[in-house]
Amino acid sequence: MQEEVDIDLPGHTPVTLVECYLEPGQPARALATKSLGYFDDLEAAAENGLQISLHSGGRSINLVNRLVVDSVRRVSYNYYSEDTISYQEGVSWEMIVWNNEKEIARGTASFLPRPVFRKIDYALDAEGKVSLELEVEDNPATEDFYRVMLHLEGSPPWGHFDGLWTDANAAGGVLKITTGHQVEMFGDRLFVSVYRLDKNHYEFIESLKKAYDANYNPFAQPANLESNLVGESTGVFTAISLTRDTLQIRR
Amino acid sequence: MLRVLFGLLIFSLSSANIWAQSCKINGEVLDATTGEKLPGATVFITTLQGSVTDAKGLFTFQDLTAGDYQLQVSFVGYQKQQLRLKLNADTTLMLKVRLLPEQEQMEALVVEASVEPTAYTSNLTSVTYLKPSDVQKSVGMLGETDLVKTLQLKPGVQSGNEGNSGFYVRGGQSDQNLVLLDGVSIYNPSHLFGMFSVFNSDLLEDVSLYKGSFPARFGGRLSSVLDVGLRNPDLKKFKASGGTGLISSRLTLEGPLVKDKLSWMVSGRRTYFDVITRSINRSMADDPEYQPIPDYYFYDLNAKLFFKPGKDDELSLTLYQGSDKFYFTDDRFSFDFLWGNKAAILQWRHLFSERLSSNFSVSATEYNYQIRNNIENLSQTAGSGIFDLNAAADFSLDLGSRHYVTFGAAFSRHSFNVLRIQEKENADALKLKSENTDEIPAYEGALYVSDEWEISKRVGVEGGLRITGFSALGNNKIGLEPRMSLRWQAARKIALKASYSQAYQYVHLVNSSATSLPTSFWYPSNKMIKPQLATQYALGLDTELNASWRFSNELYYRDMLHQIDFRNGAEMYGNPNVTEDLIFGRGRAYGNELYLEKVKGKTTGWIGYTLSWTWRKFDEINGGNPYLAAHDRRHDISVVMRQQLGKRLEASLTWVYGTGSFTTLPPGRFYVQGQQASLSKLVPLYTERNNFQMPAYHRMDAGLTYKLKPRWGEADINLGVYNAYNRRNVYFMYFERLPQEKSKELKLVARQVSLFPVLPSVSFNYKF
Repeated sequence: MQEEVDIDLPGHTPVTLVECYLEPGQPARALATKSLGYFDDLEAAAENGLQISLHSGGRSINLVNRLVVDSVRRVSYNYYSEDTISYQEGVSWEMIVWNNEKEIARGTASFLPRPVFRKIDYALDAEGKVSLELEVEDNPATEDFYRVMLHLEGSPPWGHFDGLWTDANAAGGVLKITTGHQVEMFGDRLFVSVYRLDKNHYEFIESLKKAYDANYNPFAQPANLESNLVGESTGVFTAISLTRDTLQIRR
Repeated sequence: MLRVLFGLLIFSLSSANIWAQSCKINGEVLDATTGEKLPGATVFITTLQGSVTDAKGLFTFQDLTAGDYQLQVSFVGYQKQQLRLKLNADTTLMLKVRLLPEQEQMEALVVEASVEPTAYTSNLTSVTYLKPSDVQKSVGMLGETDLVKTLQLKPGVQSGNEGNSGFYVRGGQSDQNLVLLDGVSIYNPSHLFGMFSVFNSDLLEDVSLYKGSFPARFGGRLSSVLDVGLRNPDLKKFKASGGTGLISSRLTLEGPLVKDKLSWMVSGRRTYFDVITRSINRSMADDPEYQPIPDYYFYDLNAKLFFKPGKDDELSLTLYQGSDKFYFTDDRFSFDFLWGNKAAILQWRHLFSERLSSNFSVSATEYNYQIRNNIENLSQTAGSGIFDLNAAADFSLDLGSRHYVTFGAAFSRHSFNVLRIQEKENADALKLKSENTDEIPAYEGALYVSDEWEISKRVGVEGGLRITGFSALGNNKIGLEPRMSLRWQAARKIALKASYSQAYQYVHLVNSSATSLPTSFWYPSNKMIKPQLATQYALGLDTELNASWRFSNELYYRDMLHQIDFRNGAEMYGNPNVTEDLIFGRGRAYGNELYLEKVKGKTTGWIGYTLSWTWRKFDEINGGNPYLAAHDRRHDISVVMRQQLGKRLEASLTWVYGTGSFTTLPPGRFYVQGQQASLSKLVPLYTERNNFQMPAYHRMDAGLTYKLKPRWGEADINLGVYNAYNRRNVYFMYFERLPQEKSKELKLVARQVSLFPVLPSVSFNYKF
C-alpha cells in the first residue's frame, strides 16, 4: 500500500554548483546554479552575479554573466566568453569563482592525451543488436579512466550508450572494451566517442550516478556529488580529451 | 482426587557432603502435563527464603538447617503446590515439582491466588523470560504467532519498522543479538524479509532474553542473548499437535522409541502463499495487462531425539532446517531468491555428582543466501553465507558455602563466504568488477568462569570473567569480558540490583538496509574491522506490589566502540569490495524501562514503557557530530491484556506505540546539466544523516480464543485482527516524479509505503 504524503523536509542553506567543460573548438563557458529546496521549482536554480575566470600559462579569460544556448547539445550556460578553447596536450587550466569578492571555488584541469584506438569493431546478436568491440592503447605506468558513448547517425548525440571504464583490466598496453548488445539497427553509421578522463572527473560522474540512483531508491545509501572543486561550492571543472570514430553497421 | 495433580520425585534423600555444614534443596519445576520446564516459577520455603527458577526451570536453597519445612511453588497459569519436607542433617534433597495448569482444575476447585514469578530473588538483571503460552496466546499476523514479535512487546526490545521481526535491544543493532536454538546459533532468524521468525511456537520450552549483563557462559554479541530452548519429545506416549491458519500450517509428531528412555519429535511448518498466488496468476493469464505475482513460500523443519539412559545422563540431538524461496519465471526473465539456515546440535548432559553437573555439545550452523537472475541470455548469480562448527563444555559446581560456580570453554570455526558473484553471457560481453569465491576461515574461542555467591539472605552477587580469542585473516585478538551483578533484597519482595558487563563481538553483519534483507552478509574482524566492544551499566528494582501485580524498573547505559556503518555513496549490492565502504564509529544508548504486570485473575497482562536515546558518532558522518540512530525510539509503549470471558473463551488485546524512527532524506536538490542534454540529471543534496523522523508507529491487535473439548484431545479456534484500526504505519518513504497534465515539468511528490492494512485471521490448533 502506498499513498502520497505531505512532509516537511529539513531546511538547508543553498549551495552553488559550477560546471565548466573546456571543449576544444568551443567558446569558454560555464553554468552556475544553486541547490533548491527538494520540492521547489527549478526555474529559480540559476546562480547569477558570480565572477568566473579561467587561467592558463599567463592567459586569462573572464566569463560574462550571459545566457547562451548550445542548440546542438541542447544545453545552456549562464557564463560565457567568445574566447575559444583549443586542445594542447598537457596544458593546464585553472578556474576561479568569486561571489562578492569572496572566492567560493577553485579548480584545475589538464588536457590529457586523446585516446588511441587499436581496434574498433562490433558484434551482432540474433536480434541484430550491436555490441562494440574496442581496443584502446593504455599506458601501464598511469592510472587511466575512460568514458564511452555511442550514438547512431541521425539521432541526437546524446546517444544510446554511456559507460565508464578504468584501466584495471588492461593488459599488454591495451584495454579491451565491450559494451554488451545495446543498439538495434542495421545499415546505419554508429558514432563511437571515447573520452579520457582525469580521476576527479571520473569520480564526479560516478557520484552523479550514485546520487541519482539514491534519489528514488529508499534502500540505497545517501549519496552526494563528489566535487573536484576546492571551496564552499561544489561542481566540476575539466578539459575534454576526445577521440571519435564511426562504424558502418552491416547485417 | 482422580488425577495426581502434582508429582514429586526424590532422586536422592541423602548423600555424603564433605563441604556443607547444613542441608540443601535442588529442584526443578515442570509442567505436569507436558513435562515442559518452567523458568521463572516462584519457590518459597517456610524460612521465608525465596527463589525463582532459572531458564531451565531449576532452583536451589542452600544453608538450611535440618528439620521440617513447607515448600510453596507457584507459577502463573498453574495451580500452586505446597509440599512438606523433612531434611536430615548434611543432606541435599533433589526435587522435581510438577505443576498442573489451572484450567485442568477449574471446574473442581476454587484456585487460590498464585504468584507470578518475579526476579526479586535472582541476582541477574536485564533478563526477560517468556513462557510458551505467552507466545501461543499472542495475536499473530494472519494468525501466525511469533516469538520475536511477542518479545518486542517487552520493555527494551524494539522492532526495526513495520512488519520486521528483527529486533533491537537497548540501542544495539539487530546483528548484535545472539540467537540460540537449543544452544546452536541461528544467523538469520527471520522469514519473509523479517516479518516472521524461524521459531515454531509449538516446540518452545523456555525462552530467555538477556538484554546485556548476560551470564559469562554467553558471548560473541554485544547487545543481547536470545536463548530459545526446545522441549524434549515425550518419553511416555505418542502425541500430535499442530495448527492451520490462513497462510500456513504446522504439524508436530512425537513419542517414545523406548518408553522413558528414548523419544523422538519431528515438526514442520510451511506457508502456502505460493499456492494462492499461482491460482490468481492462472485465473488472470488471459489478461495481457496483468502482471503476475511472484511466488513465495517459507518452511521450517525441526527434529529432536532425546535419550535418557539413566538418572545422571541426558543426550539430545536437535536438527533444524528452514528456508525462504521467492521466485518468478516468464518467457524472457526469471529470478530465484533463496535463503535459509541449517543447524544441528548434539548435547550430553551429565551429572558427575550432586555438586557437579556438565553439558557437552558439538554443533554446526549454516546460513546462506543466493540470488539467481536470468534475463534472456544473461544469467547472474550472487550469494554469500557463513558456516560454523562449534564445540563447548559447560560445568556447574556447587562449592557449598553459598557459592555456585559455572565454568566452561567454547570453540568455533567460522567459514565466511562473502558476496560470490558470477555472471555469464553467450558473448561474454559484460563483466562485473570481480569474481570472489574465496572462503575466509576464522577461529573463535572462549573460556569463562562465574560464581554466584549468596553473601546473605538479602545480598547476592554474581561475578564472572569471559576470556575470548579470535583469529582471522592473519589477525589475532584477545578480549577480557568481566561480568558482575549485585542484588540487595531490601524487603521480602523488593530487590535492588546493579550490574556491569563487557562483551566483544568478532563477527559482523554488513547490512545493506535498515530492513532485515537476506542480502546482508557476515564478515570477520580483521585489521580494518576491529572487534566491537560494549560496556553496559544497569540499575534495577524488582518488586511484587501484591499477589497479582508486579513492577520493575531498570535504568541502563551502554557504550559501544567500533560500530559499523556505510559511508555516503556506498555501493552495497553487487559490490564485491563493499567492505572498503565501511566506516567505524561509536555508539551510546541509555534509557529507562518500566514494566507493570498483572499476573493473576481473570484479567492479566502488562504495560511496558521505555524511554530511551540511541546515538551514533562517526567522523565521516554529520561532520563527526553525534546523531540519533535510525532505530532510536524515544518512547516505546506496549499494552497487553488478556481477559478470561468464560471457561472456554479468552480475549486478548495488544496496543503498541513507538515514536517514529529516523531516516535520511534530501532537503535540497541540484540540477546537473553535464556536457549534453542526455547527461542532465536532478540529484539530491543530502545534508545530515538521519535528519528526518518518520511518523509514530502504533497498532492494535485483538484476538478471541475458544477452546473446544473434543474427545480425542484439545483444540481451539482463534480469531484475530491485526492492525484493528487500520493504521498506515510507514515501511519506508521515497520520492516519485509525476508528469503534470498541463506542463512538461515533472512534479515531485513524497510517497509512503505501508505493508499491512487491517488483517483478520482465523486459525485452528489441536493437540492429542
